[in-house]
Amino acid sequence: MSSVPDVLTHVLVGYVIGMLLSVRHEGVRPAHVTLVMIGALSPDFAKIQLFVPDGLVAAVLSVSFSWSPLHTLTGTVLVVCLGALLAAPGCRRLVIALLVIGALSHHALDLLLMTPTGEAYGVFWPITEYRLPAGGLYLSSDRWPALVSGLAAIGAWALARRYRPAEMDSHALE
Amino acid sequence: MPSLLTDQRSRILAALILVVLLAGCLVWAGTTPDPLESQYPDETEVTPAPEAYVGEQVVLGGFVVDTDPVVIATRASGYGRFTLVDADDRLQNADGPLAVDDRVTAFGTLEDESTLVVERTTTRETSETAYMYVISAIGGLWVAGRFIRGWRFDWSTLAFVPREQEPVETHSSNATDDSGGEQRA
Repeated sequence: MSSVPDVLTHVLVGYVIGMLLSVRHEGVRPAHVTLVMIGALSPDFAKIQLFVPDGLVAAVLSVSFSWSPLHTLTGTVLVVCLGALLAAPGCRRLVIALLVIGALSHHALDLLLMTPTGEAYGVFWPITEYRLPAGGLYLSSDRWPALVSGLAAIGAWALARRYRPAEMDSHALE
Repeated sequence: MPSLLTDQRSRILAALILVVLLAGCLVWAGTTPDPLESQYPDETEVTPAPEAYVGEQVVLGGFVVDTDPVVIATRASGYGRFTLVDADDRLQNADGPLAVDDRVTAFGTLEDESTLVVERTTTRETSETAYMYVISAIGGLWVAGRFIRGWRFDWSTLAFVPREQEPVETHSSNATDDSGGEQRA
């Protein structure tokens, strides 16, 4: 079940959301769009396990271990708070908001995944074991979600170019 | 300076607490059922002792070795064979009947030691794994590149700040109070 994630689709969706926010809010600049994208990618930090397996960490530290909580809401809250601490105090609130928006988009998309059992992953762990019914819209290996989100990203890019605050463009030229 | 020091102290304390909480979660999760895995027994548990799971709902992943009826092997060696009842009709993500060598994951009730009455089947092509790695690497590199371009590490506050932030703020505050004319060209 723990398959390779489609990181690109999540990142593209984060880009689209970030670009739309940058059109609406002057404070959201290209650097901030990146934060939405990082948030959208963050639950997949759990896929570190493809390179550093749970069992390896468990053996080295001789404790039970799993990366999976990174892909739950609890893990997301902790990761977002840690991320915000890395940023300068003045922009921490904005950083938290943008990372949360991105991470929520990731969970929303993954809850819509098709699963063999018809149940989604345990997003509420460890608060409850309850699992939402899976959306059943696509597999993580399907290619059309990346294609659709890619087209949406081009659309958002064009839209932002046209409507975002003018001084941002002057900065892009510097 | 002292306030900056206390700021950094509370920041480090907050970071420590968060890291401890996160590490606690990761260790705790090692002792509970994995939140990302299905809650049902899978082929690694069922294949060695199928008789123990008769009548239970299980998830079996494997590849198709026969199509009429559909039989899968859960081990690469071809060992661990299960007949899937209704596998073609319950296929979620493809129309056609399953073919030999298709990779499938089937969920259903184990009727006897080698028969699974299927509720849902999903199939995926083996070539997709390589595609996923490539596409995910592209996504990750894109974000990393944007972050490096858009943010810099400020050594005086030991924090990341947007590269463009300061000049833009100076510019806009000057524009509103009209007192910083020397900043403009």
